[in-house]
Amino acid sequence: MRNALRAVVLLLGLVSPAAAGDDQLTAQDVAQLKHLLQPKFLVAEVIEAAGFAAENCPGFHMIRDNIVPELTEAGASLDVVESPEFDLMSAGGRANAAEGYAKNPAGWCESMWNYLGPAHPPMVKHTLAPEGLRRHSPLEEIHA
Amino acid sequence: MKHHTLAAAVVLALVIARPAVADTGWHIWQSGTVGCELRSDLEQILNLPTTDDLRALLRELLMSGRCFLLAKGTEVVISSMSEDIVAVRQPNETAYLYVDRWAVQGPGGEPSE
Repeated sequence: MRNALRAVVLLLGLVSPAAAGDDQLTAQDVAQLKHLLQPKFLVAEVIEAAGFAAENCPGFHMIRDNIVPELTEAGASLDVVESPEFDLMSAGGRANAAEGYAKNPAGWCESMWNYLGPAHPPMVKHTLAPEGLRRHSPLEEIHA
Repeated sequence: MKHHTLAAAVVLALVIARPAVADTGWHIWQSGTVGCELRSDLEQILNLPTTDDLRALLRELLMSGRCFLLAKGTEVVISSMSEDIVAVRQPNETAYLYVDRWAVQGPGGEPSE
């Protein structure tokens, strides 16, 4: 199994570190994981992260009109959105976001702004946080 | 002549004594630069070919707060530096992040050397 896939599998907690580390996954396992790691399922994490940021990062707002275009571009049809795989990735995305935010709220919010805002990397197709509503760190909020 | 030699020696000594790193005034000059708490995470990102797997990995690292996206123009303080990776921190942070050495630019616009 390639290194990137193994690392993703570990981060997602899809298999035990021992199994992933020892390359004990069968070809069928890898095929199933690759199925799960398709953009149409992975986009669930992006949407969840945007939602989590909107709920927890002061000044961060989500452009809701861009959610459907983002899903569509990733190939997430209504059937996909209602699938167990999409639910699983949504839950994983939310857990990851909560973990990242808990470790470093200001840093995570800043990073999510850069990831989802107007200067987003190409892997995000549509701006999910608007220009002008720039984030403030919780510290800045306190001092404001 | 003797004074000139002495002055040159002093200048040379100052240049040599000037720390190569830990300077302020450095900044991120590439939009969307990835900085990771673990050097090994950044090494994976930098060394693996750009595939969907890599993009998925990067997404996981960003969301779980192991790596961060740094905006262009972000001011950083440089710590250690190796061939292709440099450790930086934002002035108001204590934790260092590992970033691609070529994503950092000095006060005069020079790349990190």
